[in-house]
Amino acid sequence: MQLPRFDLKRPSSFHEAVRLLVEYGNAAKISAGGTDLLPRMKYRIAAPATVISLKRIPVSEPFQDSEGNLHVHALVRLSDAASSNLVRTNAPALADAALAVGSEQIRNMGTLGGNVCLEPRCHYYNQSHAYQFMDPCFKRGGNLCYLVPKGNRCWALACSDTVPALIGLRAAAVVQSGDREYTIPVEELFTGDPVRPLCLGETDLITDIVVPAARPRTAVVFRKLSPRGGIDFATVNCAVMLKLSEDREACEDAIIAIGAVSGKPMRAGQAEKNLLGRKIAPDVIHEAAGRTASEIRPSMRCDCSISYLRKCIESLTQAALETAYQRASSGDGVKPD
Amino acid sequence: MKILVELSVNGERFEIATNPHATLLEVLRNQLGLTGAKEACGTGECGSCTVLADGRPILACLALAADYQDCEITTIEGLQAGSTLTPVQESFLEKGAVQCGFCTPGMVLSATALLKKNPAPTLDQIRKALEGNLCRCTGYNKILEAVRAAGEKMSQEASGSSGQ
Repeated sequence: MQLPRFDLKRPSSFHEAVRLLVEYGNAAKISAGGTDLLPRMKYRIAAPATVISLKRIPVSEPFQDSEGNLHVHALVRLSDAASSNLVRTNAPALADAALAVGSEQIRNMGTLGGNVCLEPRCHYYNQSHAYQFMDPCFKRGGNLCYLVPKGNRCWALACSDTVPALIGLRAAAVVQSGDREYTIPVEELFTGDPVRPLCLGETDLITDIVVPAARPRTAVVFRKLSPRGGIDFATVNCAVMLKLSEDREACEDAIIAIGAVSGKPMRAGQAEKNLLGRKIAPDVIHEAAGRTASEIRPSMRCDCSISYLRKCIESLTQAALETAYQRASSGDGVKPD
Repeated sequence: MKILVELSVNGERFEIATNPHATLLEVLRNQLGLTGAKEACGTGECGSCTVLADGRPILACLALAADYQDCEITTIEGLQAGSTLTPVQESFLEKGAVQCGFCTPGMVLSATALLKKNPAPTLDQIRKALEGNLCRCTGYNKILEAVRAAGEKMSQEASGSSGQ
């Protein structure tokens, strides 16, 4: 399969890349590792006139600042994020999530920033449209949905593995916008509309991910369910953060983030609130998992039913909560799998 | 308009005039005549186009040739010295891990990269390292056996040579 023709720009800094984005506007697409954009271009569902490749921008190693916050460059390869000692000790959930993405080859090419900005996916959209002469769907700029023929919106799914983990870690993204820089929590990056998934401006670029310093008696755990366990995008993925009180019994703070079931990663706000202040026990964890499953509304999709998805969410959340409690209570809350 | 791309493949430098939209796989196969890396799915799912960039397996079908100018690319043709096979290649033959052979170059390169990093991998680690390489013939068991045997062979050779 050949790529469509395009003009290639290879900036050597984020500043230059943003300048190119301003110059070329909508006609340009960013390629960091290329593993998300290039297949879509081969399928003829993306055909930018200009591709801005970020491969020449120097990548710095993850580092910790004086306050203990972990800074990970957006162009760090997923395999490097997964194997970095600093990431594994300070944000094991991020390392586990990075290791769960795609295959060894994809992790050696794809970047953390690229995975955060992963284009929402749909079985009808993500296939070759080279020899199909059907009307374009919402995501291809048209006015219909193949999955929900009478629907008035797109139902593609935000499948990134690292995003739920970053939400669980309360991480933030540093964004370069023109000459200025701003920071936004990763959770607030997403609009929920699969056609325009990111709240970023047209000429904004994520340059760094900042994970706040690990807190005592706190564990963040990532779990992913996929059909074959390898290569596949997640059927459901989940990240759970649990902070215990000083006697290591009651829950002081909790996050339950569920990914790959809708247009943006979801938080189970009610289930989280219900955990606060309660003594963690098997029945409390079971109840929280059940609440999560009934609270999260999975989008319609063609590969599995909503009731199956709810069961997946429940068992995945339960497993993640159990592990998080174990780690937070045993004091080695920051050790990876 | 064509662009000039400088690639370092199997220890040799090449200067190639190619399209900006040419993938590394197209340049390797069509312009350098290195047809060991195969194109199957073309979209990064099967791993038959696997080559090593600075020793790490990547998908040549999703790599723009212009992006990999600073890397040392190794294809299956560059793995062996002369006509001697590497331990991984030998084990693949001995264990019957090759049937139609289409996935084999990618499998061998992924396995080579794994064994270099981790000479004694567990079965799960081999599975994880080869998760991006699909094989439609063997059912994988022979391949897993071959990789394990190659690891043992390599560590024996290493201990043998250090003992001398």
